[in-house]
Amino acid sequence: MSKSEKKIVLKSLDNEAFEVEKAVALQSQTIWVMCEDKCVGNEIPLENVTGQILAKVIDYCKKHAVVDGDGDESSEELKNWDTEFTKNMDQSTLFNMILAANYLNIKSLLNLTCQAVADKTKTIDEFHTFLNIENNFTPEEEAQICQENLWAFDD
Amino acid sequence: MEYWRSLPVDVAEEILSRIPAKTVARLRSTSKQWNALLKSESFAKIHSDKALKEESLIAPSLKVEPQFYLKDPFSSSSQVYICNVFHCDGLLLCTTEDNRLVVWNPCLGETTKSSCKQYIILRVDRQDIPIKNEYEIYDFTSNSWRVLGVATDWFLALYRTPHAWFLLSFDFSTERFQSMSLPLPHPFPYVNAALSVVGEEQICLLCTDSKVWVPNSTGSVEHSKSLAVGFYRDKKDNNILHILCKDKYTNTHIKGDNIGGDSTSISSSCSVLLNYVPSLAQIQQ
Repeated sequence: MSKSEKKIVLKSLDNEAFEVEKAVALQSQTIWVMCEDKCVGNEIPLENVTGQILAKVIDYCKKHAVVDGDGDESSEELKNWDTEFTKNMDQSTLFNMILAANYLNIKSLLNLTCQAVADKTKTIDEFHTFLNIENNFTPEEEAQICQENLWAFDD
Repeated sequence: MEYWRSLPVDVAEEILSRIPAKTVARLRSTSKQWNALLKSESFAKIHSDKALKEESLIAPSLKVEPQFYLKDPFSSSSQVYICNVFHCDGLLLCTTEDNRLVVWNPCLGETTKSSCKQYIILRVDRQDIPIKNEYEIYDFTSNSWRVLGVATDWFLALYRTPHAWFLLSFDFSTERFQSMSLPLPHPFPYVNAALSVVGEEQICLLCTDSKVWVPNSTGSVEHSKSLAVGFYRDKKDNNILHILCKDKYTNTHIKGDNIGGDSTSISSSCSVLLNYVPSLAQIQQ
């Protein structure tokens, strides 16, 4: 395999190009399928991901890729790296990371980011806002459910 | 935060399945769709695999008294008083004042007379004069009680020599009783004892005259002289032990293997105390 074949170019929604090792990119099931189908050349357009988010996704994939046998980081180190990775992300970035992980089908990144949101979201109001759901209960119905769950509201 | 609107439902489910059951319960009142999703069997399964297991406490007479009266499954208006509570997987099995069994998941706000298929109930129908102890198991496939055995001339609890106190356990897979020796040699402290399960996995035994037995950790209580009905370790500080007696509520400090130091007494007429892990386990109606 020549050197060029081991590299792949990912192009973001805003036309930013990233050249990465194939082994890094193939952690995405979506990209893997695209490559298998040979329906794309060496450049893969990712229409749902911005360059800013894609850069972070690639960071993650690089860290988690086992390339040429140098993936010898201990699982403990990797776990700490994951924690640091999501620690300072704001909600908007996290949200876009989740969408990207979902679109690119990278299971471990989806798990990591979903867990980070669950951990960071503490109050019910925050969930209400994030999930952005219109409350279609009548006040009576809502009161009924709250009554059933009274024990859950005591602290 | 407009962007959350574009979150696919399965991804939202991924996030929600990672939050504790108690928070999920509060989210039920968000919308009809979410209520249906959060109560669904499929979500309960994902949730039990992923969510953090958080201990919760119900101490009826202390602060949540009204919720501890169950809605009568057969009538929407009357409420019954609970005598005793047992728990498994976040489901509560309650015995009521009028001698009925009710299974209840507080997270889902559902009560029923029976329970889900994978859960089994053992009950002992005890009659002292003349002696007749009937051991029965609730069989969910036939929705009925199956008699395991009837004893007419002996009490299982007194099967061993009267002065050797022991814990009686029941293995549901082999349907056999087992006894477990207690660590303290003198029988007397066990006369009035309370049993508690911590975190659904550790059994603790509190004896009235000042001994607490917790496998892996032992200690003694200096002040408790009246009948203890329940106790639990503090949620925030593992070294604080809350103890409930028939007529009072106290908390005390555990130092290493010893219990003692500061303790406060709060007047209470509590008779039931429960420390359990809420879940979204389903109850089959």
